[in-house]
Amino acid sequence: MGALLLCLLVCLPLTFILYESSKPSTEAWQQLSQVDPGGILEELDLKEEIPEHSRLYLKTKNTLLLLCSVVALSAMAGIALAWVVSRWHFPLRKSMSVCLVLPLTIPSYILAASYKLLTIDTKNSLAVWVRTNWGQDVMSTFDELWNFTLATFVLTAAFFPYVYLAARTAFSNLSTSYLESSQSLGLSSSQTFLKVALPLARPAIIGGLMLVSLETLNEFGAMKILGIDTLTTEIFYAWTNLEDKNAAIRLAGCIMLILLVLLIAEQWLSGGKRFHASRNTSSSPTLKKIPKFKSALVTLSCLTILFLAFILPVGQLINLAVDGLEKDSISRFLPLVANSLWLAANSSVLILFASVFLAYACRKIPHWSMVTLSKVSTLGYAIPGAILGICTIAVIGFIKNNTSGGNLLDYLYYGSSYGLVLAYLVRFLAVGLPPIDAGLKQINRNLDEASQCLGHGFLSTFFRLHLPLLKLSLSAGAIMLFIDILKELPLTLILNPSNHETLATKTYSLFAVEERYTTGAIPALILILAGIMGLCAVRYISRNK
Amino acid sequence: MKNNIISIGLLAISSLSALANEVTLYTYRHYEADSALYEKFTQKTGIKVNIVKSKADALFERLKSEGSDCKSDLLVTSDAARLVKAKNLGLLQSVESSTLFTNVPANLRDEDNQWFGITVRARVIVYNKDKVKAGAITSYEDLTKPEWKGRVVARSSSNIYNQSLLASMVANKGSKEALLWALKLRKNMARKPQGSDRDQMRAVAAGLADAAIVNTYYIGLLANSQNTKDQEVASKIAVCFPNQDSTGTHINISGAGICKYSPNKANALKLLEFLTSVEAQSTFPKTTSEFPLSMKSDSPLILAWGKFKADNLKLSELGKHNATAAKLFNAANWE
Repeated sequence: MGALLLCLLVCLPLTFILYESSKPSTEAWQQLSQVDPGGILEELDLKEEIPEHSRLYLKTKNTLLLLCSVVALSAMAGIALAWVVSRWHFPLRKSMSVCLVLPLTIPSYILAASYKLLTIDTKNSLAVWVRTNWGQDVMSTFDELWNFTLATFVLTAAFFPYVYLAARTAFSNLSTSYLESSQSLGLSSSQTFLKVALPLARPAIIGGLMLVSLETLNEFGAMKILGIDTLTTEIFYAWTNLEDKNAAIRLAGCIMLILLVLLIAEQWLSGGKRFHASRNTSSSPTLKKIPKFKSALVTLSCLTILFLAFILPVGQLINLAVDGLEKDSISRFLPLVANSLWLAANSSVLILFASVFLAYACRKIPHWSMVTLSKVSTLGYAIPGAILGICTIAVIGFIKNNTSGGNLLDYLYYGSSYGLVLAYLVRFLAVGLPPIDAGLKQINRNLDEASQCLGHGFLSTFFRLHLPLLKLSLSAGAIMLFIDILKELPLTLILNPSNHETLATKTYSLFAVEERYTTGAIPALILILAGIMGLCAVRYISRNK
Repeated sequence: MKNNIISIGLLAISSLSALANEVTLYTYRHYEADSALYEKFTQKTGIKVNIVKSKADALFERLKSEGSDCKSDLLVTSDAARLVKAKNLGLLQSVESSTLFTNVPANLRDEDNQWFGITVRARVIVYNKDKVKAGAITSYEDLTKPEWKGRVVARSSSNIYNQSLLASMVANKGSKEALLWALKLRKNMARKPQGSDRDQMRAVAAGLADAAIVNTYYIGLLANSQNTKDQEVASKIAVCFPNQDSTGTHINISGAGICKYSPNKANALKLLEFLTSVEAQSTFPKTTSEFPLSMKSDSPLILAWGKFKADNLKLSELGKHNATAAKLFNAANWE
């Protein structure tokens, strides 16, 4: 029942999208989907100027290319790093294991702006050099290639920790007995990885990859900054330039379609199988010793990735902020810290509650309808933040005009930031649910039965058995939720009550809009610092429980 | 029951806030200097200013959804085309104010007095001083000549400043000429349109291109930046105010209108009048490098640019041709 309600909340904007997409196509849609829409060029006898492909074709191609490259790179980096960190012995292993999550604390638009700032001079001089040697056309191609590569790099750097975190949790939850028996049966360590560890960690890894895909599909800020056109930037084009919400929502529908394919692929890849790892009582797995040269190489690779994805951009921000602090004091940003932390903490707790509830409902009622329900309720993440914001506003307007609940809604959405919390719930359920779902799936059902046989009821089993076993998954979910909400921009920008600014909105307006990098670097750094503190807190809690 | 208590409580809060001396504005201007101006206004009048910042179109949606139960008094946004859109959506109301009529020139406000300009900017051509002789460019049309092939950069056509520039050409010369201009200029570009106006100037300073189309205040913001690299970029470029012998340089505004269902209309009017007053106007050239409504300023940068002939097209025309401009850009394949 509760699951149904939760699902309904998420479905409201979804239905809105479906309903809008089912309307007959508008003129703006023709602008997007046809070459020479309205026949303007043909009429003026400029047929030779008609492009080969429509906008829609080009943007879809861009989106899919970017999606594939970011997902592939994130998978490689995330899985490899998680494996070495949880199984091999090398210098700095422990600190690397923790630090590799840090890139998550940098919002993608800050990472993009910071890399643009770092590389723009090099890019411009290289472009001039390319033109002198190979001419104008090659330079133009070089420019596009550069932008695409940089965008792939920035998104991978920003999102690979999702895979890393999921895979690391799964790998360290793996029973060592599996790995030991695999090796005693004669499999080499790489075979053990491919044939035993990877399949067992698959649900978690695929969950992480789904997050990477969703984030990539919905990325707007970084794409604008780096000059890449995707379906999401096209949504804004349709909405603000062609002034057609219907076409914008249709485009959102296109993104959901890609997502649907991904969801089906996910279901197919994990084959509906359940993975139960019989747990080993000795909690610390034995780490594999590797040759000195190899271990130095591993440390170096980890450091390089960390340097590129975190140390370099943060170093640049610190450099900028030092200049900024000469003119600005840090104290004026403090109220924003309170706003951001309050929002992130509240929303994370609410979403974790909802996630545990849904995951548990799926376990208790393993009917296909329940599973579908839980899958559907994570679709909110697929809706671009801005579209979700607009749908929310439209739904509020509709309810206020047709019912008497106006005062409550006013309070929620204008008088307080609780409305924003609800909107985050719709959006971020997909971040909270997968780690908890995966964690729950790794708990053997025999335990449930044993607990029941020993006379423990439903609640007692949950609190005394499942919750402690879920500790790792819960803390992983909490980390990601807290940081994601701290960074969230488009929804916050649209649904912010008056005089309410968060670190993210302030950073955005100073850093990305005003391009006042030195001043903007201050809230950006506080934002990253708050994220790091969140990480530490979660780590502390999960250790002490 | 619980709901009732909440409702009563909320009713009490909302009736209290109706009595409070305040004004709420929905703004798309993200400048921090604006907040300083609002503080000054509060000191002068005792009226508290509440601010909601968001993207222009998101603010429109919010106003539409609020309907007659409006939370906002004043809508502030850049570009006349957006203000026209707000008017057409029925989000604004007409006001009679002799102060506004004197402070805001007729072509910079709405015929029905629903919106008023606050600051002015011109869309100009900047060029690399080392590569282009002064006087070599005199008009927007010059950039479409064959000798400029591969030498021009501009930002994306989804940017409203470009749309308004093209809309002004539609108004002045008709759609066909406007389309041809966009088509030829796109073909002369050194690279695919991307980045901000500042990025175009960076490309020109680096020698990647020789000329770019940008808004004036961005030149000022680069020149006055704390960043030495930005200052260097500004020192390498020169400004041309195009079309002095024909239509005049395209100008646009940042402006505001009082919301149709404003709960504190009198306060909103006071704020709007304050923003157009000499006291507020004199700050814009220094803080955001925008022109004041009078176009006169003692700011060194604006003095250095000198007087120029501005296109005296009624700015409401930009809103009228905005949709056409978007379609023409699409046809011209200007991304």
